[in-house]
Amino acid sequence: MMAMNEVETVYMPGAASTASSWRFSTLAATAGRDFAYLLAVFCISIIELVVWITGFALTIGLLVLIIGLFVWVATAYTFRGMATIDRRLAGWIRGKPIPGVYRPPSDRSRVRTVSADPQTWKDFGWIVLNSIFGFALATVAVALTVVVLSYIVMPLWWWAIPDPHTQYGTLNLGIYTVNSTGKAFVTTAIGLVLLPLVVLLNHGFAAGHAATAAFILGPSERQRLNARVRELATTRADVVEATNEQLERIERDLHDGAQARLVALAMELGMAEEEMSSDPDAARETVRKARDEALNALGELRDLSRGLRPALLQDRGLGTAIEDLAQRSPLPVAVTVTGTIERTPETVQTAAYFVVAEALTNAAKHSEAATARVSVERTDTALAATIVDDGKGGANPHGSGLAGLQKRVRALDGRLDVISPPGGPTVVRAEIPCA
Amino acid sequence: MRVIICEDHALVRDGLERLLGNHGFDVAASVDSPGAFLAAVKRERPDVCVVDVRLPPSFTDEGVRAAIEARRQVPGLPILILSQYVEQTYARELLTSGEGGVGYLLKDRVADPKQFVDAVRRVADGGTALDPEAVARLLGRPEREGRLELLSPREREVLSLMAEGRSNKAIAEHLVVSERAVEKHVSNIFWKLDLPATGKDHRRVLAVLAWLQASE
Repeated sequence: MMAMNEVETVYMPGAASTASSWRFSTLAATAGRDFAYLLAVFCISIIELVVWITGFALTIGLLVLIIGLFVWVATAYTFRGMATIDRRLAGWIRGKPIPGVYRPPSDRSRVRTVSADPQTWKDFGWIVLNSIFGFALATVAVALTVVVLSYIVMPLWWWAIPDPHTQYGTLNLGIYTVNSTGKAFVTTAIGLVLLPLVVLLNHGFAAGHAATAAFILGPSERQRLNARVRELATTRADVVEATNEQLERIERDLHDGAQARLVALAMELGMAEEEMSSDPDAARETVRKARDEALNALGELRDLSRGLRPALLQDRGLGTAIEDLAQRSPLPVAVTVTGTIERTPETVQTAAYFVVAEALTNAAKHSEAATARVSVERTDTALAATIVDDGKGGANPHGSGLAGLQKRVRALDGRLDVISPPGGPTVVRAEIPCA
Repeated sequence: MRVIICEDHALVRDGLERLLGNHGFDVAASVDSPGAFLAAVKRERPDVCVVDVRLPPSFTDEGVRAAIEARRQVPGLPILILSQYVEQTYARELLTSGEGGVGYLLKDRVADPKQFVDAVRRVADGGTALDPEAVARLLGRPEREGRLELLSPREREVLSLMAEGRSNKAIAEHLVVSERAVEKHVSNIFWKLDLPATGKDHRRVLAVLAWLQASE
């Protein structure tokens, strides 16, 4: 089958999908799904009718009192809930989710935010529309389907209809009356003829309904762009903040580390100079201390510059840099790399590197872990880095190091998840999209 | 001479203790936070204090604030501030009281024990010790409106050397002129900056302060 499909795909690219979609099981599944959808629409549209009439009446009725505003917000949120269900269902039929884009709560009052959001009004319009036309459509579809199905299974139940005039049951279909098993089978035949029509009708109704839902409930281009702009503004501000925090940390590290050591070193040397003539032994000892101080300062500067821009990452790529991190970690760390991570944008590699570095540092410092595992995976669309340790868990994802990395990763449209239940294990996973 | 050291880096603190100890100072207390410093000042009543600018908890300007507070509690308490950077705002804040006994030096100056110890002694004696770096920075600034415009270039030069805490004699040596000439410049500066001679004053400090304020 597999091979045949491949052949067909090669010679007739269009035919393969058509052929498979006409297979009976697929057809039955589609028909079942369409019917289930329309049944759901039928139920929901009734609830929606009740909801919008109640919400509307209450809001209008109470608007003279302040409480009406609260009722309005509650109504709008109920609409939102209903619309979310409709979005899910329609997304299921369409095979791709319909995003619901709402304005986030702002400093302005809830009433204003909700009222100013175009999606609130689109939800409202949709719910009114769906409660009338969606209901009508679903009623017709469900009723027709039930009738046709009942025709098909007529031989099984026609006798059960009580009729006071005969000893058997009768069912008047208008053209003829089902009063024998033979006529019942004729009805089955009619039902089987009508079934494809009903299936087709259901399919059209379901697709049309879902498309309308997607149109009204999905974001318009403008809403989509607005949401994207908001997101970009947030992540941009986050990046600036993260950068500032990082600069502050670097300044403090320099001040507390190398600078202080160099001051001490200069002081030692000054004293050594004074002691040279009076107490050469003391001078020698002081110079020795000064040299140690110089070496310490060098070490601290080296660590600091590595933390700023790991030279190995730029020179040899992410794989080698992570191997290096693993070797320098006090814990035994197993590293797995899948996919060609070299063909990843440098910014993405750098972000992934720092996530691994921070997670390993935390694992060694705070988690009391015995071992850690790092896996880096490059798929066609993303780079994912996962760090797992067997420590005691309870890591705070909002701790300064991880929070800064979260901002960094989010700015690249990626996500950073920290799962660290008390008792462990801790899992840190960053996934950054890249082509 | 009794000294209190307030410095949060153990290394630098140890070094300062040794350095000042070597030069005949008696280290009355050596602490690492503003709270401990103020308590030590109250308890020990030292002749001079050496304080780091950046101290816990926020590591910004706690040292300056602690110094100002200490001088509020013990007026005229000589304090030498050590800093990694030159911030003239801090220098001005320290000198605002108009009294002497204030120093503000870059930490780098500890590399020359003799000069550093001289600065500590000068501050202890009620003089000033402003870091040459700070002075140079101020000199490099564009001129502003103010009384300082009345000063001649030579008088400015003398004023900047005064800010570093040099005596008339040292200034004369530096400028290769007679001490008499320096005295004349200094009195001209006092006159132009409207600093009348009163009984117990710190006109040299006030002159430096006026200069710092003018170059704000």
